[in-house]
Amino acid sequence: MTAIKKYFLLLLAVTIASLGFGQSSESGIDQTLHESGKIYIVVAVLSVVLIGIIFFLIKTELKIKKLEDEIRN
Amino acid sequence: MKGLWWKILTVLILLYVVIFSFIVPLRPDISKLSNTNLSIGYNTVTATGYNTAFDKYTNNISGYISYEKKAIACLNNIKATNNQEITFTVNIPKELPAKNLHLNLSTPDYTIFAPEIIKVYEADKTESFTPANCETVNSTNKSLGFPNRLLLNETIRNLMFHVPMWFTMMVLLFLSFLSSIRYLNGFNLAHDLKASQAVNIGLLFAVLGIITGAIWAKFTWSDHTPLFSLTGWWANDVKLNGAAISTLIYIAYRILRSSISDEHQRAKVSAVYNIFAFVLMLVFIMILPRIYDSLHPGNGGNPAFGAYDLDNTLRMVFYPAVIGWIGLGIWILQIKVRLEKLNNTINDSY
Repeated sequence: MTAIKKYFLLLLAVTIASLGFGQSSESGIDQTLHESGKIYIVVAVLSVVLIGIIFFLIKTELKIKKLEDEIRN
Repeated sequence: MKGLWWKILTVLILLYVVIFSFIVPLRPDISKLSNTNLSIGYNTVTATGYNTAFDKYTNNISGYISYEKKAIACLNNIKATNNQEITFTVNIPKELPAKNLHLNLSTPDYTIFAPEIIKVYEADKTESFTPANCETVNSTNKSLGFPNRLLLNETIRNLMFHVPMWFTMMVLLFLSFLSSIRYLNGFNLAHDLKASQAVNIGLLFAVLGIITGAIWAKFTWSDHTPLFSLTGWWANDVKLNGAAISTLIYIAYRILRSSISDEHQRAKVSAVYNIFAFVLMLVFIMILPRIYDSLHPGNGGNPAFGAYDLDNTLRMVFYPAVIGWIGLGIWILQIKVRLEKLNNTINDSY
């Protein structure tokens, strides 16, 4: 339980940190987005799908852990 | 292990989908003209392209301005200044059949057709005109690429990640619907378990579909809105609102289940609710958006996969993407059903 919590917090921290990158000025990001043909939107969308499915996996693992503990006791 | 082959196939298909939806380039296109409003007589125009590699074809570029497939004026003195820019001169005649004209470019490897990119407001309207006779470079369209559409640009690749989320949701909710019917026909609680888990996984994919759709909409339909603001993530569109309502209906299904403690009664009530919910979902997502105009392609009366929406290169990746994501959804469903069955056996034995 604590190990999973730790990993989740780490994931959260990395996500927030990466969100902070290059956000010094609004027009800066806007420009990067449009010069590259908005390819980063595709990266963001794929990341959302992966994060969603991984979040679901973590929830399932917590459930299995609970079952294992029940059997052990 | 028995039953493993389709999981390996799912992984391989998804691998193919992710790789190919990123490495296939967009087709060359013109993204900007220095001057879109041309005047009668000589004009010098700089055209900015995307993925064009103009400097490769320095003396091998030809082009003309057209209306309804007929050339109106030839492009002269075409010079590539770098791989993305060419300059040309064009002599616009005094009388034209329309004010909005198309730009055509040819190189040995590709042709570009930019519809209604040029406007000539000064021209007099005429019904009859003599088509210009322009020299054209022979080109073989051998470059493989996704279509480069206005506003969409590279985000056309989201087709492989956003749309299959909804397909997967539909398949899972259909399985849930079938399980509910099978439960009512014999009252076997195993079918109820499958129905409820299929709704859970279906909701996961619906939420992913909504979030990915919101990100996509923000940078295409609402591209004019400021980047860090709440506006633009949602559009007032029939399909969006329908999807939101269906998601809420299925969230209500979960709340309904958690509010009834007797498991047989819970199974019966929620099975009946589930059948109604599935029909409502079909109405909100499949039927209403086709009756009313929607921002989504293929709505407002057209079939969803019309000739204009999908081209062959997109199909090569999109169809596998649908199969792959549906496979993943069913795989997750199978794991959850097995887990809950195990949960029930363990709880019963104590």
